[in-house]
Order: sequence, then C-alpha cells, then structure tokens
Amino acid sequence: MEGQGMYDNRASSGFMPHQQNQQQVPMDTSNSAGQNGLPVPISAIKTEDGGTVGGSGASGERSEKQAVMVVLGFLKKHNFKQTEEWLKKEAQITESESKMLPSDTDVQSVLSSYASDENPDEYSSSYFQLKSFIDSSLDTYKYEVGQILWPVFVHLYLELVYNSHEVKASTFFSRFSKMQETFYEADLVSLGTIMKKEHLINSENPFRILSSSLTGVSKPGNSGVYVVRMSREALSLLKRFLQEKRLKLIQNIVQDRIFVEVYDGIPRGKAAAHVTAGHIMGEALRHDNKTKVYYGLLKEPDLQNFQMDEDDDDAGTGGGGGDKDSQSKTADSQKSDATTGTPAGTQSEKSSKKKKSKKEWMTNKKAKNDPNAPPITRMPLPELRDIDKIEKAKALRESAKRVTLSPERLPSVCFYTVLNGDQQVTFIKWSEDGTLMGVGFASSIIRIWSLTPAKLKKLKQATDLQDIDREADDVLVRMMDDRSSESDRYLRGHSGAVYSLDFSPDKLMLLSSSEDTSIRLWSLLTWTCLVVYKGHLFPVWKAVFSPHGGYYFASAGHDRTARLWATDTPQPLRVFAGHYSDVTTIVFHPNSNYVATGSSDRSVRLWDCVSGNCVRLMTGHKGSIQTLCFSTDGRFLVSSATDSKVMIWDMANGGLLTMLHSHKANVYSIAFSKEGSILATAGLDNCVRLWDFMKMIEDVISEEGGATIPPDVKKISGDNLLVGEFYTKSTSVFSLHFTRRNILLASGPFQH
Amino acid sequence: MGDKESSATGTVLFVDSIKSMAESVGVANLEDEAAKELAEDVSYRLKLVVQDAVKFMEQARRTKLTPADIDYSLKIKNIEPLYGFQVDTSTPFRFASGGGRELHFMEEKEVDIHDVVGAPIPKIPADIVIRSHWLAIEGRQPAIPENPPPQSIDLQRSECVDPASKLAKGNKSNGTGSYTPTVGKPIKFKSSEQVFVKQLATHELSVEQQLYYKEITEACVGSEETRRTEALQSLTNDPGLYEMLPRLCTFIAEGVRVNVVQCNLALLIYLMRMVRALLDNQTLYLEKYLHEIIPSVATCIVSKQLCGRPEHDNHWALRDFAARLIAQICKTYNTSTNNVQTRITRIFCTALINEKSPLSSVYGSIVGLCELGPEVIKTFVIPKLKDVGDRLELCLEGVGHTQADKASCVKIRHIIAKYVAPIVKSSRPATDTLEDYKTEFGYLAQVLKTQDAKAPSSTPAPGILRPTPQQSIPATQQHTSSASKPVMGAPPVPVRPTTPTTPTLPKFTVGSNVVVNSSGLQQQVTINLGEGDTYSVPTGSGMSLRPYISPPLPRAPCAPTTRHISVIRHTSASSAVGF
Repeated sequence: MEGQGMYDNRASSGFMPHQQNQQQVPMDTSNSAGQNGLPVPISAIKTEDGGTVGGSGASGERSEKQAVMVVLGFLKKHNFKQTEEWLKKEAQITESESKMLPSDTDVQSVLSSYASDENPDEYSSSYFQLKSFIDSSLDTYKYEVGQILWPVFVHLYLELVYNSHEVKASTFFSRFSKMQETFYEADLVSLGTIMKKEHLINSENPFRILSSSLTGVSKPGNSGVYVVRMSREALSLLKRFLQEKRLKLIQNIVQDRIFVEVYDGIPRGKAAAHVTAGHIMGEALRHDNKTKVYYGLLKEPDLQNFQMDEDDDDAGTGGGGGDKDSQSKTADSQKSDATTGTPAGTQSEKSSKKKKSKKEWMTNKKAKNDPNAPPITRMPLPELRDIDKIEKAKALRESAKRVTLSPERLPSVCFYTVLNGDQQVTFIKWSEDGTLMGVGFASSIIRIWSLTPAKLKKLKQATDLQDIDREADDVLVRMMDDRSSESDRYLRGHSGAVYSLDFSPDKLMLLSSSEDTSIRLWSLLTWTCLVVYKGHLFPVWKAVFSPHGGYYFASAGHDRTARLWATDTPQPLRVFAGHYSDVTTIVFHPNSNYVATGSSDRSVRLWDCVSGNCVRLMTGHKGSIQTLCFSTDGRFLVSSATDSKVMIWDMANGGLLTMLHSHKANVYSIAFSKEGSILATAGLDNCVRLWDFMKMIEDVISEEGGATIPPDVKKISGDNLLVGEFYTKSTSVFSLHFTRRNILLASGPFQH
Repeated sequence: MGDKESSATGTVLFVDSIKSMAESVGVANLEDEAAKELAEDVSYRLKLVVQDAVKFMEQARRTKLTPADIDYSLKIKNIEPLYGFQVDTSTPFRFASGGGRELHFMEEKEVDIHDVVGAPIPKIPADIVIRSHWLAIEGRQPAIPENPPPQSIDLQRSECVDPASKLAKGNKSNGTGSYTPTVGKPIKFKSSEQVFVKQLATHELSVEQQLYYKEITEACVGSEETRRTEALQSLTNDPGLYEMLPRLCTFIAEGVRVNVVQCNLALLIYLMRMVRALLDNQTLYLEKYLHEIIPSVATCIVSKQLCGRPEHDNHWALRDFAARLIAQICKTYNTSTNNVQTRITRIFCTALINEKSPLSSVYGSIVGLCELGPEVIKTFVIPKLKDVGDRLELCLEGVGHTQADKASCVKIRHIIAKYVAPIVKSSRPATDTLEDYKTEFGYLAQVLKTQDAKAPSSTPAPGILRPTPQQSIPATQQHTSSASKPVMGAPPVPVRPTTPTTPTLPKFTVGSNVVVNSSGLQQQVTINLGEGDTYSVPTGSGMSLRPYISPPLPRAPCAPTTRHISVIRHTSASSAVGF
C-alpha cells in the first residue's frame, strides 16, 4: 500500500513517556499476532482444518498446491535451500512443476488466474443463458440458485477486464449490472471503477480480495472464497444445467471461486435468501459459527460486605439530576429544570422500591449459576480497586431507585442539544453514571461537560499536593484545586478529527481515537494526555474501554484490523484481522471475554479475546456497519448499518433474530435500559425509537434453542414491537444512554 | 469518453474537461488519445478518493460530504491534500454555457492582500453550548417549543377534511404517547375484535393547560402591556396550543359579543390581537374554529358602534386591522367546500347595499372588501360607488348629521381614494374626463379623478395584506403602541383615559369537566349593526353550512362574479408562500 511509508515513520517516532516499566501482559500470547504491531492476520497463521462440505473438492486440492507453490517461492527467494528441498519432497512436487513458481509479486500471480483464452463474446452469452435459466426455473429454487448470479457476474467482469477486453467488459457491465439485486448497488459502484487491467493490480478495491482468494495464495482454507449456501436439490439442478449446456466458463467459476455450502432441507424463498445476503464475501459458513461462545455474564463481585461510609452523595450522582427533584411531578419544575440544564427525573421512582431491590438480588443470584458464563479465570481481569467498589456500590444503590421499564411504562427522555455544533460534532459519549458528557469535534478538540452542579476540577500542583495529609478522610477532595473548577473543559492534542471517545468506568480516564491514527488516553484529574498509542497505520474509527476496570481497551480502524490493548502496554495484545474492509466499530462483550466488530464489508464478527479467533460471523446488513451494542444479559447483539436497518443477533448460534426497518436514516446510537427490557435506537432521522425487547426475545428464551438458522422470515420483522417514537425538531441523535435510574439521555447537534 | 446513459457506475470525465484542465495548467495542445487515457485514469482515481471520503463522512455522522473528507481521503493515500477548500456551506460552483459547451467552475476572485489584512476581524462564531429539555416524560412527549408540535399542521388539516382519520389513528397512537386527547375512556386495544364506539369527545385539559389558559387570557385582556406582549408571543409561537384552541376561540367569540355591546374598544382590539396571534401560529390549523372567529372579526369590521365616543376614538384602526385579519383568514382557509370568501363577501355586500346601515358600517364593509383584493373591488365596490357617493353627499353637504357621521364620510372618501381609485384608473381608458367619471360615479368622481392625477398609474393595486400603517394608525397614537409592534399588526391603543382593566366577561368555567361538543357546532351569531337593524348570519364549519352556501341561484349579478373570484383566489393562494 502506498500510504504505508508515511505512517510507518509516524509510528516509529512514537514517544510514550509513561511506559518506562512495561509489564508483561498476563495473558496467553502464543497465538497473538506479534508484539511488533505488524498487522499479521491471525487467521493466516493458523491453518484451518474445517472440513469442506460442498462439491468443491477439486478446487481445494488445487488451491492447496498453489499454496505450497507460494511457500516454495518464498523459500527460494530467501535462499532457504534445505527447507525448500524437504518441502518439495514432502509435497511431491516435480522439477517441472517447480519451475512454474509464482512470480515475485503475489498480486500478479493471483491475477494470472484470470488469464484465459476464452472468446470474450462468450461471456455475455454464457451469463445470459445462466440468467434466463434461473429466471425460468421453479420458484422454489429460483432464489437459492439466483444467489450465484452476483459472484459469477463479478468474476466474469473481472476476467474480461483482466484480459484487456475493455470495451467488451464495459458492455457486459452495462448490460447486466441493472439485473443485479438492488442491495449490491454500492458494490456495483466500486466494481465499476475497475475498468482496466492496471486498476485491478493497483486497486485497493475489496474485489481484489475476492479475486486474491481464488488461487488460495494469500489465505489457505476457505476463507476468502465467496460463500453461497444452497440446498442439495438447488445445487444439483444448477450442476445439471451447467453440464448440459457446457457452460465451461461458468462451471469453472462455480467450481473454483465460489464455495457452495450444501445443506439438506427445503430451499429458501426470496426473503429468506436475501435476508442474510449483503456481505462482500457472501454468507457465513455453518462452521464459522460453530464454536461455543460464553455469552453469560461474569459473577458480580459481592458488595454486600463492602460498606460505604458516606450516605449522602445523592445530589452528586443522581442520574441526570438530584434525588429530591425526581419527586417533582408538575410541568413547572420541568420547565425550570430544562432551563437550568439539569433536568430532574420525574418518574416516581421511590414507589415499590423495596420490592425492586429484592428482585435485583434475585437476578444477581441467578447470574451466578449461569451455565453460559465463562470461567472467571478465562480472561485475566484486573482486581477491583476500592474506587471501583465505591462506584459499583453507588450504582447498586441507584439501581434500587430505578423504575422498571416496560411497554406500559416508558422511560423519560432527556435531550441535550448541542447548539452551534452542526457539521462539527463527530461523537458524543456519556459516562456510565450520566454525569459527564464528552463531545468529539472534527476540529480535533475534545470537550467534556459536567451535567451536574459538580464542577470539573483539576489536580493541585505537585508542590501543593505534598502538603496534604494523606491520612485525611477527604484526601480526594483536598487534592483538587478549587480555583480551577469549570463546568466544561477542553482536551487538546489530536491532530485530526476525533472519531470516538470512551470514559473509563471509574471516570478518571478518557480514551479517544482520531483521524491522526493515534489513540490517546487522557486523565480527567490533570486534564492532560497520558499516553499516545500508535499502532494503527490509518485512521482509528473507534476505541472502547472494557467494562471491567478500564484496563483493557479495543480499537478498530481503517487498516482493516481491530486490536486489543492494555493501558500499560504500548503495543496491542491482539490484532484481529479478517475483515475485508474498514473495521468501523467495535464493542466489548459485557463479560470482557469477547469483542464484536462491525465493518464496511457489511459483516459483524465476534472475536475471542483469549484465543484471538473469530468465533461468530454474521451477515445480512446491506451497508457498512455503524454501531453495535450488546444486550444487558450478553446474549444478544444489536447492530445498525448505513442501510438504516437495525438487526438483532443471537450470540448462541450467530443467527439473525429480528430486523427493524422503521428508521429512515443511519442509526448511530443503540442503548438498552438497565434491566434490558427496552431497546432504544436513534440516528440521523431525528427520532428516538423505543422497542419492546422482552417480547422480541420471548420466543428464543422460552425455547432454549436460539435463533433459527436460516432465520424465520415471517417472524423476523420486529416493527410491530415499536412502543415509542419521539421526534426532535431538527436535531440528529448521536448518542443514547440509560442512566442508572433508567432515564434515557439523548444528545446530538442541532442542524441549522 | 463519457458514457451518458450509464448512471453512477462507469462514468468517466469528458475529454473536453481534461483538455480545458490541461490548458489551465499550461499544456496547450493535448492530443485526443492522451486526453482519453488521462480522463480514464483520473476518473478512476477520483472514484477511489471519493469512495474513502464517504467513509470519513459516515464516521463523522454527517450526510454531506465536505472538502475535509476529501482531504482525509487523500491523506490516507499518501497524497498531499488540497489546501484552501474549506467551505462551510456548499461549494460555490458556477455554471456557464456557450458554444455548445457546458462548464461548472469555481469562481476565484483575485483578492488584494491589503483588503484581507485591512478587513475588520470577523465576528467570533457562537460558542458551542448545551441545552437540555424533555423529549419525553414517561413515554409522552410534552408540548414545549423544543419539541415538534404534537399535532402537525398537516394532520390537523386532514382531520378537518376527514374526521374519521383521527379515529383510525387513535388505534395506533394509543400507547405511543402522543398527546392527543383520548376519545372517551382510554380504550385498550389488546384484542383486535373490540368494537370501537365513538363517543362524545371530551377535551380534558391538564392542570398545566388550565393554568396556562387562565394566565394567557388574563394577560391578553389585562392592563399590563408587557405581559400582553409576552402572552401574544406565546400564542404566536407555542406549538402545544392545539388542544386549547376550542377554549381560546370561544373566549374570543364571547369576548367580542359582550364588548361590542358595551362599546369597549380597547378590549376588542386586544381580542383581535389574539386572533392575529393564533392566525400567525405556524402549528395551528384554525378551520374547525372559523365559525367562531369569523363572526367575531366581522363584527369588529362592520359593527355600527365600537366605542363610546365615535367622534373621538379611533375605531377606524380596529376596523382596518380586523379587515386585514379577515383577508388573512380568507387567504389561508378558503377552499371550494367551505367558501369562506364568498360568504364573507356576501356579509360585506349586504351591509354596503343596505341604505339604512350606518356610515361606520359602510366604511367597514368597504375596507373589508378592499382588503380582499383588486378583483373584489372591481366586482363589488365599484358598482356601488355611485350610491355610496350619494349618501356621502347627503351627509356632508346636508344638515342634521352628527359629527361622527361626518367623520365617517371623510374616512370613506379617504379609503376609496386609496384603494379604489387606482383600480378605477387602470380599468378605464386614460382619455376619460372628469365628466365621464361624474356620470358614472357621481359624487365620488372628484375623489377618484384627483387621486388618478396624483398617483401615477404605476401605483400597484393594493395587495391583500398590504400593510398600510400610515393610514390605519394616526401618527399621534403610534408611539403608544410601539412597544408591542413586533407582535401585533399594530392596532392602536386607544387614547381613552379610563380603560377598564377587568373586562366584564361571561362566566367561564376553566376546569377539566368542561365538555365542548366541537364537532358540527352550529350557531347563530348576531352581528349588531345598529338599533333595530340586526341580521343573523348562520355560521358553522364545513358540512353543516352547505344548505346556506349553495342556494339554487343567487341574484343575477352575483352568481358569475363570485365564481370568478373564487378562481382568482385559488391562483393567488397557490402562489402564496407557505400554503
């Protein structure tokens, strides 16, 4: 890649002042891809032993041989003579064969597979025959078989381009591009940019990956081949047709470049076939989602013994407002609160408080015996510090005052409008307790607002700190400089637009990622930058803290990788490589053992932080993924994409559970109420929507089975579960957050 | 070469564009072949750049691609960004064509460095601030200015046309927390089989709304001008008034009825200002309540007496103001089904024709008709000029008439000179002499002709809502009302020293148990035109009035003209902004 040089320099000149005593990360790193920060794909190191199910045995053999050839080429180039000999012997490769070693550049060799002597006129006619065959076939098989139309189209086109039949390619493209499914439009645009052989070689196009996989050069196994799932009957129908008509061209493509996973069962209809389509590389294989995922929650630490010595901190920590105010019910108080900037909760929260707190403990007990929870030692997690315990205890007490939400009892929504920030605000994030609001700007500035009367104070100077009695009870208060209190503060340091922010659970640190390829860790005590993490070579789209202790964090970037970091190490602990395009978003599982990533290749993946493997692949979105959010019980993942759809996935088996169509524009924020009964989504269509999540998962929970695969098309639409819809005047919604008392905070910039 | 029929895919820059670009950087004669190669390559690279730029746009949560996105996209391709294209608004491309060539270009003016250095420092952009409000309270969206109006104006309009739509919507909105009044008891829609029984609509106002109503009405008719200004501002801007509208309209109607009898000019003016505020409120659709509003406003135009001392008080301003209101109502709410304009025109005509109607009423009806536009003037006012002239002559030259009547005559002459004269002039050949005018218009010929001479023919005909402050507000009174000017259409504050502060209003129950049967209310509103000369105007909204509007054949001259006018109204309405 051309850009690499520039960013390499940047990365190597990285200066990390706070990293003198690096600790060895307490984690199994044997599988991780390099401490040197190179984006070596894990899947490339591991050899996959997944069995091929379909009828592409021949292609498997061929690609294996190709792979061996590439290794040989590598050995030869670097003069590993002996190894080369051994390999040749073992792989039984003759001298004549070894002369045909791939040329120096991988790309060349990859593309050479496109070289063909076929008559260019045949492409159009072959494709037309295939198309008319599918159109005329029985409705039962039509849509299943029809799935291959798109990959065949792409391959034929690329082949034409590669063989320099540019005019033919262009007519082929214009003739058949309109016949493709509408959701391939974005792909058509990028495919259309490739018009010459040179484009194919230089291209950073996702289609190069599609083609690179064909010969198996870069990736062994099945990864990288377009995947189509088809019922046995549909496949045999297709095969028979291809043999009868002697469509050599298409036969080759179907055999070598498309992986057909066969399943026994009834062929899918139109809706079912389309609902999981959309990923650049086709559908997920069954075996992609086979691994067991521990989606249960970790045991909550026992806080009953932990007594808090102060009992009067309600005013400071109340979710978006003071406790006393929350009792007020009239419009008068709302009005006055709205103007002062700290609206009060209006729900009559204290009612049936005792009952609820009991329930809380019940659910906690339940979680302890969750069979799906990972062993507590599976992923090394930091010990709880006192400050974490205090925070947790506070949260617990707050939760006792919480209103249990249901479709009959919807939350109050408090909207914080950012004025004069149109086109400048890029990201908004709330601290977990809803007292701080961080806003990232395109101008590279980060601004933190305090939403409570408590001001943001700075730590005193070191000389002053010496004088403080360290044994005093209020040492934390004394440490802060009262003269420096402000209601909002700036954090300056990035040199490009800030694309994401995240508060650490203890609210002492802030993580930010930016266009300048760096991730920065800020202290909210000194209000300065602590560490700059360099490792991504390209803009970092998202950085998030792990929910446990603020030690681990994960990032996702334009370099098509997601990374797992620890705050005390300058290099990533894991590099998750596998997406075919930008990793646009990342989120930690509530038990910190997994991260979920979304990409502009239109797939959602779940990665195991311990092994570094991809354990779930979910396809179905028709646009680049924008936001991800785990349900409170950790079992379900909600994703949204630029196709303005919201999808809910079951982590138990990676199946699609529900799809929500109501939004009219990109959804940029998803939130769950604290007890997980209400799902809130909002985005650029200036509307906050609330959904009855309990009803959504009712069937799945009761059946103990999980989402059906393939998804049940009749049940999949969740639009009847909409329970609330609140439009703003002209403010798009960037962020949603439920406070501990279940008041929904929303915010976004007002658009002029 | 550009492939015109293909859409976003496969488009390539035009060879000509490449050539002109080459020229601009000093390459004079680029060969076609080279240009073609370049075009293909450049478009390919452009597409790659844009492809990545879109990612930056998406990540910045925007829907508009900015130059900064392009810069970032270039940057990740290790290409130096193009500096100096930071534009806040859209890029100002200009379009030029000529000689069969079309060109989009950016206009770049040469700027003198001294101008830049010497220019005053631009204003600091407003700081980014955060404001909070309740988007929803326990699942219901409060009707505050920060939120969109609960009942969108389109919905209100469709409800007027098709009341059943509300019931259909009731099913859906139940539970989602929309703020519409529930019909009858809140019916739970658990089973779809439940039979929906339509009951009388009870409009229950919440405690806040009751308080608001009380405050607003007190402020509007009270003595404090600042409070009134605030109240009217609230009526003009508040999005949540939809539910209180029946009460407010009744308040206005009752208020007018009582105060006309008591000749309380000040209060009438206040009430008209309320009407104005409601009309100006962008979130309200008043059609349902026109049966209360129109009679009230019409009363303020044509009533015989509006104040205690007609010879001193400036009740003319009130009539002018109300006339403008009625014109505004016509403009906004006239449809082919409710025929508001036809009916209003008829009211004025009746008052104008009637020989016994007092001169003040004549003045009102002329003003009312004149505000409705030039077509109305032509059809209804000009034919009556002779009769009116006769009456004026009788009054001004004769004896036994009061000072008030004389003042009325002067006013009428004035208004005719202002509105009617230009139209008469434009509709008649320029060769007409004073004599010709005299035969046609009698006494008023002098006024019309001299006005012609004074005002050149280029004077535009008075528009429907042309503001005429210098006419309606005497200069002596302007200063008193200046404080409230932005809110109202500037009716004068009366000079009368003893303005009653507490109006005697009919008893009003402001409680949640008030039941208003809002659908199909039909009532007879009496317009008091003077002693012994009352006539009743049956009013109502929409359907209930049909028998009244469509008599088989109205009097001969009226029938074709009214139709003609309604056509005109339509065209002007369609061209009007906002409707």
